Amino acid sequence: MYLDSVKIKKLCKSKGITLNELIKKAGISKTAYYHLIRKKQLLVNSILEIAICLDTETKQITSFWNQAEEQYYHLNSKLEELCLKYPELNRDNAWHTLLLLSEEPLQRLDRALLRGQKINIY
Amino acid sequence: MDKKSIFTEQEENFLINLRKSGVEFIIVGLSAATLQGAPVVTQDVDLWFKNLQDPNIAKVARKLGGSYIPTINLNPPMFAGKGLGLFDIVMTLHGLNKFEEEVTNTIKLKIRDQEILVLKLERIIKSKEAANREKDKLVLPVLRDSLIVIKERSREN
Repeated sequence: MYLDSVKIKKLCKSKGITLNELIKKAGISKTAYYHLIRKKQLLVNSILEIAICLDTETKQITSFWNQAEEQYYHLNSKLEELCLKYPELNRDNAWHTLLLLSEEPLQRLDRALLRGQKINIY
Repeated sequence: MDKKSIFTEQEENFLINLRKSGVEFIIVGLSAATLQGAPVVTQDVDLWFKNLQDPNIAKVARKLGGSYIPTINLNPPMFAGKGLGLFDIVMTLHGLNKFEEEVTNTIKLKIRDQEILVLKLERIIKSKEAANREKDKLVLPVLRDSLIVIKERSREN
């Protein structure tokens, strides 16, 4: 996930402010902003902080490099929601279920059988 | 399915042919759980038949080049032959009701043009809780967690 300068410019336009004003509102220096724009990977927390300062959602200022990355972030946020709602939930179990739910049922069965057979070998 | 698959077209054919012949059965156990998204492993596909005396079971097995071997002494009935060896026959499911009643606690899995019944995860959990074997105790926490996630996801969809 990266800060998308095109989306940020659009956001400025929709808010009727300049980029400089937006940067100021986000509470970061110009240097820091351009540093973040050039970064290929950002921490979710950094993006979240900027989005909160700008009173917007993270998706309004970011883009994903590919579908796999997008799916990962989507599932990860789902995992966080579930863990908040069900504190007793085991994160690993929940994560792997979320991953498997994105596959077709017969693919899941095949995977389980393949692993089951491997257990037999070792 | 790719070349590395275990559950191949042959196995699919068996289920489809059983269905087409009017044999009533439900996929149960951990294979049913994995079909629904539970991250567990299994070595076979458990089938629960309404009537093991149904002559079509043996007919389908023979048609696909295998065989249905009925109970001999203490040995449970089983399937033999390529494409059939993966299937186990379940005689009893602890903690569950009769086949006729449990049919309502299933989901439908579409394989090609046929719908195959799969026992719902809730019922698999109930059965494993009742069986209470060591291997069941190990897998139950995973199944319970998966059930929460699956229910939440289905609510969203």
